[in-house]
Formats: sequence, structure tokens, C-alpha cells
Amino acid sequence: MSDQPDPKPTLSNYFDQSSSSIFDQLSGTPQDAQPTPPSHQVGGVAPALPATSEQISTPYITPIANQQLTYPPEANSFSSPGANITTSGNASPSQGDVSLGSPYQPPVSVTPDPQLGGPGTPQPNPTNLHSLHPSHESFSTPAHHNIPLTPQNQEAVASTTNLPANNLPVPTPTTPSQSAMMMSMTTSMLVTDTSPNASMDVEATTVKFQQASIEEEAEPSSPSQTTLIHAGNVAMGIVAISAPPNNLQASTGSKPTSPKPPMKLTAASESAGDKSRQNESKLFKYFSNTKTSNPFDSIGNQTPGNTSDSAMINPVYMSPTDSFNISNAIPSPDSFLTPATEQDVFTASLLSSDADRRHDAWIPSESTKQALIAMSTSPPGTYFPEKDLLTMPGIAVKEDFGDPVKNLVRTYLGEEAATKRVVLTAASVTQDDRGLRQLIAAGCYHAAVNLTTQLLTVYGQGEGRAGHPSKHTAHSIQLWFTRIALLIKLRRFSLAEVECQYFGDLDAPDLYFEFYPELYGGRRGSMVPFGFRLLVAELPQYLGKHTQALDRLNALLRNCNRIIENLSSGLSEDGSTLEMTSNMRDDSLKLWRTRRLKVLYSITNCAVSLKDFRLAGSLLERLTQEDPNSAAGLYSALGRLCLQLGDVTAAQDTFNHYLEHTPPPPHHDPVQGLLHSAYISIAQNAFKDATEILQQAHKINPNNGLVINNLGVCLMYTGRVTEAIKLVEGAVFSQPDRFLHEAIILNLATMYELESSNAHQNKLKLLSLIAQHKGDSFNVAALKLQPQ
Amino acid sequence: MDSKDKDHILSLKVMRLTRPSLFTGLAIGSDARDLPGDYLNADIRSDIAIPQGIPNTGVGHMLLLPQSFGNIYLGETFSCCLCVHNDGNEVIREVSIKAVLQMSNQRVPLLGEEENESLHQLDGNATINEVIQHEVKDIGTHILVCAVSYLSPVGDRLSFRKFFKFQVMKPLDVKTKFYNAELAHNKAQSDEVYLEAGVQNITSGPLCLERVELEPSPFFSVTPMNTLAQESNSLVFGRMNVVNPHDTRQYLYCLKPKPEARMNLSLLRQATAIGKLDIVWRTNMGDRGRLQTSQLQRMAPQYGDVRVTVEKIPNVVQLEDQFSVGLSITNICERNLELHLDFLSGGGGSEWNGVSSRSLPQLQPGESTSLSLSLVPLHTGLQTIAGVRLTDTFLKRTYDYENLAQVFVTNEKTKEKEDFFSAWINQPV
Repeated sequence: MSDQPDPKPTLSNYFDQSSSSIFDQLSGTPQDAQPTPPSHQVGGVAPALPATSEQISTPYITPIANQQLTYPPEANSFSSPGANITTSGNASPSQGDVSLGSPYQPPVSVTPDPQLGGPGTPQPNPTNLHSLHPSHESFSTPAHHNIPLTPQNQEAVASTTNLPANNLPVPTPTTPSQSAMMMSMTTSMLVTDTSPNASMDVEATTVKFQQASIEEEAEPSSPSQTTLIHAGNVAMGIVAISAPPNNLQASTGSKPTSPKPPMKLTAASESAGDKSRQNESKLFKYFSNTKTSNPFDSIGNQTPGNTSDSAMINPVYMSPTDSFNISNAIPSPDSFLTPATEQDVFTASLLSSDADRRHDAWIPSESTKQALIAMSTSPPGTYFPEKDLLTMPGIAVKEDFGDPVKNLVRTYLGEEAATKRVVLTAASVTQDDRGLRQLIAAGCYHAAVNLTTQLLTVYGQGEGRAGHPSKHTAHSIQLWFTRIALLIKLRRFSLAEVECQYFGDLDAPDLYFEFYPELYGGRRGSMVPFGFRLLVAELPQYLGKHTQALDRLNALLRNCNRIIENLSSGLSEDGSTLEMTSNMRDDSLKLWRTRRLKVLYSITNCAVSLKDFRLAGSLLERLTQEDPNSAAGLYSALGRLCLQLGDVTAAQDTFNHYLEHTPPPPHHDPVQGLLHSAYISIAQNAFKDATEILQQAHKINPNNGLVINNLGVCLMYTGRVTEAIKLVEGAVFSQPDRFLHEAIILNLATMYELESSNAHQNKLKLLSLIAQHKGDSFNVAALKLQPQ
Repeated sequence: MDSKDKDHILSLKVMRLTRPSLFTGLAIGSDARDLPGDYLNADIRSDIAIPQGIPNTGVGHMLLLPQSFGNIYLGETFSCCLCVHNDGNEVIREVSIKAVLQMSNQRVPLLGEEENESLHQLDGNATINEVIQHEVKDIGTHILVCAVSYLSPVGDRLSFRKFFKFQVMKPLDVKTKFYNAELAHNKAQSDEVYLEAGVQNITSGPLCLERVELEPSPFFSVTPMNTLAQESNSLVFGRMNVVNPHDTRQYLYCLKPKPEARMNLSLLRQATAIGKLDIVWRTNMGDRGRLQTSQLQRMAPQYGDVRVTVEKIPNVVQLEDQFSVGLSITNICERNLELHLDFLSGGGGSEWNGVSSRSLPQLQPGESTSLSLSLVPLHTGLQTIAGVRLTDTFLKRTYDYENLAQVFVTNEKTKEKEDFFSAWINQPV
């Protein structure tokens, strides 16, 4: 021990050690090895009757050894619409050949391609990708082998035949080529996505068409060489069926199955689309009344016991949707249409186009407008806009993200503990939107980002593709939106910025439906979801570029104002003249006023993060006028803002305003008022009073994580560190799912560091708790573990 | 921290308790019709760090312990938590904790220096916590010295010390200006003094000036002029009481001599001490600081032998319209004065119109004369009237008046002017 004053500032050292990386993310690590290769139900599981087969409910058709023997009998009315489409071929399947469960399922290969194969997938029957080219065979060649069925498919099929719909989908890995086709379908889902039920129709129809088209298979010997592409193309043609009239749908999903640059849609595919359109009314009618349950129901129902590879999956991750069901969570009829019934198919399509128009509306800039007009007035295929008018996005990161929690566990607790951690990865869910949603719901954002990498690669927008032209679809844009949103949630702001820069201000002509008349027919508006615009506008503020964020947000606000103005003055959203019923107009006004408020809230956010108290304060006050329903919450926020600034008097006044805007005592939650009093006491350096107030609140609601956290912090300031730890630790360990929150963990880790020399051991206990209960997006930097 | 610590059964941790901050999560949502469906929104709803019920405003509500030492400024309170932990399993007796704050020229005992210093007994794996507070009154390097002594299980008296160093910085810069008002509106001698105090925030973050008061010296009574109305509490500085880093806020005070001080004018004239500014500010979560300036000194008014005051001047004049300024010239010395008046060129955007270089009538001691001078304004805006030179012909001493008064020059066309020009344009040739 030294008697000399240490020249090094040890106190600040102490803090520095712990503070440097508070919210830094661990750097990306190579993707973990698959714990176990996903098992596939091959061949033998083949009950002939779908009704009794669990395999029916798997999201993927299991790989089968003999691809040519895949055609199930057509014992029901399903076949008739299909028969209308194609002439009978020579490859009539024989009953009993097929090892697949459902007679309605076209068999699908999950065979990985050598080039694009997913990790760990068995390869019973490799296909040769290079030979996959649309010119290889005429379009009507059946593409029977490779239609992956999503669970929605399954359900649609099952319900059509009055089978019990208790399908339990299994997440299984698929190859990118499969996902390509899945996307071709999911793309169409999105395009027509006005009702989950409608999308079910699409899938069912697709299945049927596949089935029908196989009959004219001309070259049974080479199906594996052609199927991938054709499956995609057929899907393209078919999905138009449920789309609004004039909406010939195609998908670029099939393109990326070729490693070469994307190819153009062939005339063949268009004619196939035409063909299907001729039949569409019939088909649509048929399928529209076979509608049953929401395709997403199955997510909530799934249980690990029914899956082949679920043994390794922690129940927590397996059924992430326990807490809510997406079908219940759909907030308003605005976003999804009410299910179409037999009678109102036409109305539904009208309504759907109304909802689409409302949501997709945007006012393009002048140069974009010119390009779109040129596009629509020149003959198809003759207008090619300048390259700098196009967005050419690409993924900017080479490697997949690992699971930071697992990496930490491996470093600090050993390999054995790491293998015990089981979370969903991109490979353990279906390679489609559903899988993506599953990962998001499970809090596995890193894995979800990895999955978007795979899905976007299929669109030709993968790593290293930035700057190369590629076609967008509504679905690829949604994928980008999801990816950027997740990157921001993971605080990987720089990466998000790099990937966003290709989209510019989200106003390039190729982001509009009008740019793809062959895909979207007469559909107008922007494919960019409003949330994406907000995200891109907000992004610079996380990188310290608040001025840029404010500029972008104000541009958004201006466009919202213009749209509201247009609507109020009897025009359509983008200023064109359009016959609108007053209901349509009111719905649209409502939507755009909500969006405008969202922008105002985002600007407030930005001002708060900039510590521009004047701007933030005036915006919050303005919002109490513009959004009176939120007045109470806004006064509470304004009060806290005043405290952050240090203006205690104004804070007290504002908290009194809060009380005026909440219902009288029997109806309102007294805890919020107590929290406010505690903040004021803290500001007056009366931590003892604050502690007593919060203890009172804790008594009223012992399960309020906010109260527990704030009480713990106040106990610290009164010198009761041991008590604080006992309180917070007790809460976290008794209800980890509820209280494992990065801020609580950060506080607890700080308390550990102060309290004893055992901080490291205590933090490791927290780490294993996190590993047990949280997905890969948990911010483990909050633990402040010292490097080893 | 270093290996020597390992020899001790007790360990000492110190954490500065700056105010907790408010943490909030990132609220990234989507439409239900977008690809992520409701899952991102569900994540927002389940995040306890995001206030529910309204869209995220970015203002958090979750208290977060300080994660860095931060800055500390003069006038703030230094507060920290000391934790002594018994790493062993045996009971440790006679534990004493002392903390002293060492500055360049003094040391301040903060803990354990009292006469009947308490000795703790510390069970195995138990912790003693002490929170200490100290108002920082010096700028520069401070060293917190913490000493722990205890009786080891074998009966040896052991002790160790730890040192924590930090710098105290200056939070505010105060600049003052004085205006000696000699005459009130009623032309009575007023001897009011106006104090303009610019308080600049030189910390790294925004701060809230909770109170800026002038404590006048015994000669004066003070009226603050910083609220919108005399009786109201709302400041002229706008809705949010914030001063951003590097910003300066100007406070204005009117000081009136107390009646008893008026009795002795010459003493009052020499009274240079005006008073002290007492400033209270708060920053993050109400962290409070307080400073008082030293006695503010004004320059005693210096008039020389002659005093010139403006008696009459319009507030607003028209561009290129001649106006007149009434000046009063007083002889305040003990002899007769002969003065010579000159107009200097470049007089603040206006030109004098009249005879330059002329003598004024002789002035007896204490006598005044009034002058009416004409000016033609040539530039718009707020213009200073300047360019008057008086020369004392006896002493050859010159007095230049470069800031006599100000006048606002506008270019608004009046009805008459319009009429005049239209008549002039339309007149028959």
C-alpha cells in the first residue's frame, strides 16, 4: 500500500472500467455451429391420409427420395379448377406412390443446392442450379417438386377438405432456393395482403395449380433441373388470382436461384399469368369460401412436442407467441380487411385496393414523378430510367451475427454451459416471413437479421450486391424494413446507416408500384412502408447527426401535411383527382393524421436526444393539444423532461397538470402519481423521502418493474446497498421473464460492483439467468463483465 | 485494485453518486400490415423502460445509476458512497473508516474525524456503507483520501488507504455592465444604476438557472427587471428555463439609492460597490449548485467639467426626413466655461445639418444652455447619434460625444409622401 497520493485518478478509473462499453455491442461473431442438424422426416412417415398425418402440418414438405412419384391422387373438387388450367399430361401420378402425407400437397424437396445450401441440411438429391433457366423448357412445364408449403398452405389445404386444422408447424431449415419460392408466394401475400385469409387463398390456389400443371409434364426425366424456376414462375402466375383485378402478379423471388444476375420475366411467364387470370374468377370463388382460420393461429398453437427437432428447443423460444396471438393483436380493420365471403369478393377487392391506396400513398418528388410517367406511357420494356434513379441496395456485412449471449457464456462459463443454451437461430425456423416473425417474437434479433440476409440474398440484394441493379418487390422492401428496424433495435446504427444509404430518401422511382406494371398492374403508390420512412429519418440521430434527422423528419412532416391537405380539399392523397366516398376519405384522413402525429413524436424524440429542451418542451406542449387523448402521458413526460433539465418548479407544475388529466382516484393508478413525487424528491436531494414514497408504491403494486428499479436506485443513494441488491435481485430471479431488462441488469451489475468483491461471480449468475430466459438480442453489455 | 489490496480482508469501493439519469428504450414499431406484424409493437409494449399509453416521447422514466464519474463544478455538492466489504468469513472488529478531502491548500475531513469516532464490527461477507457529501468550494485538483483500519483476526491493527483524484471546474462566467442614469424622466436627479449581468454557461451540458439574485450593497435597493410583468414569476427568457452550453443570459437590475444614501450625494457618487450576484442552478435530475460573485464594482461616473444630456429626441424618424435633437449643456466646474461646438463627420448614419465650428455662449458655473441641432438620417435601422465635439477653449480640452442617444430610422412611406410623389410624377410637363 502506498502512502503517497496516487497520481492516477483511481476513482475515475473505477468508473471508466465499467462505463466504457455500456451500450456497445459485442462485435459480430461467426455464426454458431448448428447444435444438431435438423432432422427431416424422410420417406417413411408417409401415411396416405392427410387427416391422420402429423406431417401434413409441417411447414415444409419433407424430402422424399423419389421426386417423380410425388403426385397425390385427386380425390376432391380441388382438381377441377386446376384441370381447367392445364391440359392433361402424361405424368398422371398414381395413388400410393407418394410418401407424403397429403394428397393435396405437391411434394417439395428440401434438397439444398450445392451453391446455396443451408447449413446442416441433408442432401439426398442435389439439384444442379446452373441448369435452372427459364428457357430450358416451356413455361407450362410443371414445377411440381419444389413448392415449399408454408403452414398457411397446409392449413388452407386442410380446411378445404374439412380436415381438422390443428396443424402444428415445425420449424425446419430450408435451403435458400426453397425460400426463393416461398417468397414468391409470400411476396404475393404481401402484395395482396389485405387479409390474412386472402393470402391463404393465394397459397391454396398455388398448390392446386402446381398439381394441375404437373399433368402435362413433358420431360419427366429432368424435373429436378427445371423445377426451381418454374415453381416460382407458376406461383407468380397463380397468385394473381386473389389479387385485385388487373393485378398480374409475379415475383422476382425465383430469380436469385440463379447465381447469375437476375433475369427478366419471360413472355412465357406472362402468358401463364394470363392463363391463370382467365380462370381466376372461378378459382377465386372457389377458394374464397373455403376460408377458415387465420393462418397465423398456428404460431400460437405450436408446441414443441410435435416437432421433430424440438427436443433441443427451449419452450421459451419455441412458443414465443404465448403472450399474445398475432391474430388477436391486429389492431384495426384498417390494416387487414375483414374476411371476404362468397358474396362480397368484389367488394373485398375494392376495399383492399382502397386500403392499399391509403397506406401506400405518397407524393413523389418531381423527377421521380417524371420517371414514373415515362414508365407508364412508354411501351413495356422500352423505358429504362437513369441508373442514378434506381436504388441498388445490398447487404453490407459479410458474416452472420452470432449469439452474443452464448459467446459470453462460452467465455465465462465454459463450453458445456454454452451448449446448454438453446435459442432459435435463423436455421431453426422456416426460411420465410413466418420464421422471421417467430425469431422476432422470441427476441432473437440477431438470428432474424441473419435470416433477412438469406432472404435478401435470394432477391439478388445480398452481400456485395450494393450498386448492382435488382428488382424490388413489396416483399423485398418489407424485408429491408424489417432488417433495418432490427439493426437499430440492436443498436448497430452504423451498419444500418450503410445499408440505408442505398435507399436515399426512399423516393426513387423503382420504389413505386407504378414502376412494375407487369407485377402490380394498375396499383399505385409507394412500396415503402411508412414505418421504414420514419426509421430512415430517425436513424442519423443515433449517430449524433441530429440535424440531418430533424431535416428528414421535417420533410416527412411536410409530405404528411400535403397529403392531409389534398384529402381535405377533395383530392386523393397524392393530389390526383379520384372519386372517393366520404368513408374512404375519412379513413384515409384518420390514417394520415395518425402518421403525422407519429412524425411529431419522432421529432420530439430527436429533440430530447439532442437535449434541445426548448424544442422538446414546446413539441410536448403542442402534442397535448394535437393528441389530447395522450395528454396525461405527455404531461408526465414533460415533467420528467423538466427534471432532466433541472427545473424542479416547472416539473412540479407539470406533474400537477398530469393529475388534472387523469381520471379521479378510483379509476386511476396511484402508482404513477407516487413515481412523480419520488422524482421530485430525488431532484431535491431527498432520497430518503423518495425511498419511502416508492416503498408505498411497491406495496400497492409489488410487480411493477419500474417501481422496483427506481426503489433500488433510491436505496443506493441512502446508503442501503445491501437492501437495494436484495430487492432487485429478488425480483429478477423470481420473475426473470418479466424483470430481465437491460436497465435493471445494468443497475444491478453496478450495485454488485460497489457492494462486494464478489461482483464477478454475481454477474455470472445473472448471465446464466439471461442465457436461460432471453433471446440473442439481450444487451449483455449491461453486465459490464471485465474482459478475461 | 493493486496486488497489495489482496493482503487485506477488507476491501473498499467508492462510487460517486451523481444524480441518477432517466433511461428509455428504443421504440421501433411497425404497422400491423407490415412484415414484422405486431411483434415489434409487442416488444415496445413489454419494455418497462418505455412509458406506456402514449407513443414514445424519448423521455425515459427508469432511474439509472451513474455510469461514469462525470464532471464536477464549483458550487456543486460532491457526494459519494463508500463501501467496506469483509471478503473473509470471520468477524472483523474495530473497523474505522476515515475520509478526507485534500485540496491544494487545505484538507476537509468528511468522515470519521469526530472525537468519539465509531468503530464498527463487520461480519463475514458483510458490508458497511457510508454516504458522504461535501459542497465544493475550490477550483482545481481534489483528492479524496479514504483510510480503513481494523483489527485483524489475529489481533494486529491493520490499515490501508485509497486515493481518488478529481478536478473541479468553473461552471459559470459572469460579465457585468453598468449604466449610470443621471436623470430620471421627470428630469429630477435620480442617480439610478442599471446592472446588466451576463451569465454564461461554461459547463458541457445545458443547465437551469433557478435563481439569479442581486444582493445590493447598503446604499441601494434593487428591482430585478427579468420577469414579464412586475408581479409575475414568468421570466423573459421563454418557456423552458434552460441555458445551453456557451450561451449567455443577460439579467438586468435597476438599483436605486436608498433615501438615506441620497443625503450625501458625493459619498453616493463614490460608492462603487453595487452588490453581489447570488446564482443557484440545477442540472440533471435537479443536481444543484450555488455560487456568489464577489462584490461587483462600478466605475464612478466621470463627467469632467461639462455634462451633456439629451433633452429631446424622437424615437422613430423617417429616412431622409430632417429631425432635431435637443441637447442640454451644463457647466459643472467651478469656473466660467467657453465652449466651441464642432460636428464630426460620419455621425452614425445621419448627417448634421447646421453650422459647424461655432462658439457657444459662456456658461457660469452650474449654468446650462439648450441647443437644438438638426440631423438628416441617411440609413435605416437603429442609429446612434454621435459626432458632437465640444472644445474647452481655455484648457484646450476636447470632449467627443460618440453615443449621445439612439434613434430608429424607418423607410415606411407615409400617405403624404406617397401623395407628394404621385403628384410630382403626374404633374403636367
